[in-house]
Amino acid sequence: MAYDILLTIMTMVFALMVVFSKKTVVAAFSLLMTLLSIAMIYFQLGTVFLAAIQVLVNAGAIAILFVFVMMLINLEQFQNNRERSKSKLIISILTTLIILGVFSLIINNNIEVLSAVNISDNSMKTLFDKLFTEYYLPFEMATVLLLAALVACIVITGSEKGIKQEQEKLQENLNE
Amino acid sequence: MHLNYLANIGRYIPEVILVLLMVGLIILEATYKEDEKNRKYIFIATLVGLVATLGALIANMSGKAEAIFSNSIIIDQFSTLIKMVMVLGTLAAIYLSRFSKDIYESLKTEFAIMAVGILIGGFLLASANNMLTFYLGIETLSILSYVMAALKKNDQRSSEAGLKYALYGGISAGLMLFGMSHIFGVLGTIQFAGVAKMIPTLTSAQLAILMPSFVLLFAGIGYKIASVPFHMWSPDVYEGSPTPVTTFFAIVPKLAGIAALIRITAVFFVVDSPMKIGWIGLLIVISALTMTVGNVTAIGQKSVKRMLAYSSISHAGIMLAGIVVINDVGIRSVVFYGITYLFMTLVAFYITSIVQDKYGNDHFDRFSGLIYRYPFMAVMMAVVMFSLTGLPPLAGFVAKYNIISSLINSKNYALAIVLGLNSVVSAYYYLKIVRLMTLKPQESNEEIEGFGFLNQMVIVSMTVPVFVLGIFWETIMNLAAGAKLFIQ
Repeated sequence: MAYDILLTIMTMVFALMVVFSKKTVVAAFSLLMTLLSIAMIYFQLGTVFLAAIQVLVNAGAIAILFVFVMMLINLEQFQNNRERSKSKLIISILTTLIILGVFSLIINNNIEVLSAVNISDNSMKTLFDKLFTEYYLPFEMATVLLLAALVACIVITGSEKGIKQEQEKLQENLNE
Repeated sequence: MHLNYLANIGRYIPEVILVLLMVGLIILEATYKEDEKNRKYIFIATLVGLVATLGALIANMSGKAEAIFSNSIIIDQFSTLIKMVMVLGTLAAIYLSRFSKDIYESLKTEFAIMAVGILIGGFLLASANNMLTFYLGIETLSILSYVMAALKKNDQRSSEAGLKYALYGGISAGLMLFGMSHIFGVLGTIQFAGVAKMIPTLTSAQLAILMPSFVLLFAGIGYKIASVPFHMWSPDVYEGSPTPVTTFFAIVPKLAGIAALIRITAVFFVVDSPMKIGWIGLLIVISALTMTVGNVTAIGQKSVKRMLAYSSISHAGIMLAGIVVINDVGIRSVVFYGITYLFMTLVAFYITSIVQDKYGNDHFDRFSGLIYRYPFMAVMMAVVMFSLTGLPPLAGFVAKYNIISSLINSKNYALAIVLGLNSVVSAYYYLKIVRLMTLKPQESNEEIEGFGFLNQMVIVSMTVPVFVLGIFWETIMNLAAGAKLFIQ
């Protein structure tokens, strides 16, 4: 129980730091720590595989990617200087209240969260048995999605030489 | 069990063809030499693939409706019909992209690849039967859409459109997943039918948790169809994207979203429950807002493309109004509306695109006196504008009439009145083009290359259904009525 509380507090503090820290690097580091503490919560719950995936994918790849991008670009133009307005404050307070209300309802009413998933039975074998039988189509479609994302990346970053020439030609035609 | 699972692929041939087409196009595109002739082959390959998909869909139409792949996909007449409309829209958008100058020549094959990819997402979305496939569909649809919007790389507005679309899209997908995870957490199932079974028997605490979750779920779909609180991206994206992309966006993602919304509404909210009242109330309010905001903002626009963007928002609102009536009549009228909307939008965008290619912009004034130069095209544009307004004897009238009558039958008088009033408002900006085309003197006497014989024939052949569906609408209406949802 003590661990649970500690981990929860850790996650919350780091998550708040992501939002409120003035420095972008600190925010990115807090994001990494948030993801890691969530991984620890998964571990505490006994879902070892999920914890490992969380560390590998979210903390290992995504958060590091953030830091990496920050290294490559000029950070000073991305200072965390968001404007504060009254309407934003009201909306964020309302959202927080609604989410807190929903969570308190879940806790107070003993709603069986995830009753369908048997947490103790989470060996990788069961997981992949499901993935390659019952959920095979979504699995395959996820590969199509990744292929699509790949194409999208190539189109966005592809060479612009030909495009520039074409654009100039088009502009000339219009000017005539 | 495994063999049974694989055997389902017999009903899934259209999607398989599309995936193969997409992969094949990528390989072709990666290997061909960059000259005009080879590019033509890729174009032909795309057309052949899409026509084959259409054929497979027609073959699927006569089969019996069933749930396949352990209930994650539903193949029924409804989804098949919507898919056919989407394939037609893609075909037309790709054909338009061939001669449009708005897309860079070197990116035209990429456009075809991405259009096919988005179509796969649309197919998934139209027949999704659990939240996993539903989300995969939305995501496949979205990721490629972001890039498509930014296809004019050196154009500032296009890049802005892509970035805006991606940011809003990411947030709305996150919200939707948050809602879905709550639904799964409370009910313990991701199957639509499983969720539907539990909805009437919820305790009040569960209800209080699920109400916000369903609103969040709606946010994801509402974003895709650009309904009002989530429509902010739409005009910028529609205006910034190249015109063939806009044509595509106005049809495929929108119809896919509408189809998914129809399925969710019809599966979840059959039996009376507090949740149903909430959902229908939400739909009514959003539908009325979408129509009104779309129409009122369209009035002040100077660019025809932006005007068409706002008008497509208002059309999404009208289709939402049809969904409010969750019975066979309501679904039938929405499907019919989708079919007519396809043809009307296509003709309007084709003509706008050709005029825009000539002059470099698409202000209303560019249409002045079009009737003196290209009388045939001006008449076609006028027909489509009358049809979009909803004047008899055109298809738009029958479509709107059906939705209004189904609304009145189900005693949603307020929404019917809002719809009627909105048609009057929309007449203003639709008929403005007609007035400019016929009454104003022409700006110049130049020839517009885009209106060659072939393109004129294509435009005419797309306008014919607008006439035919307005007079002989029974056939398509019967087809739409046969497009029943299969719930399992």
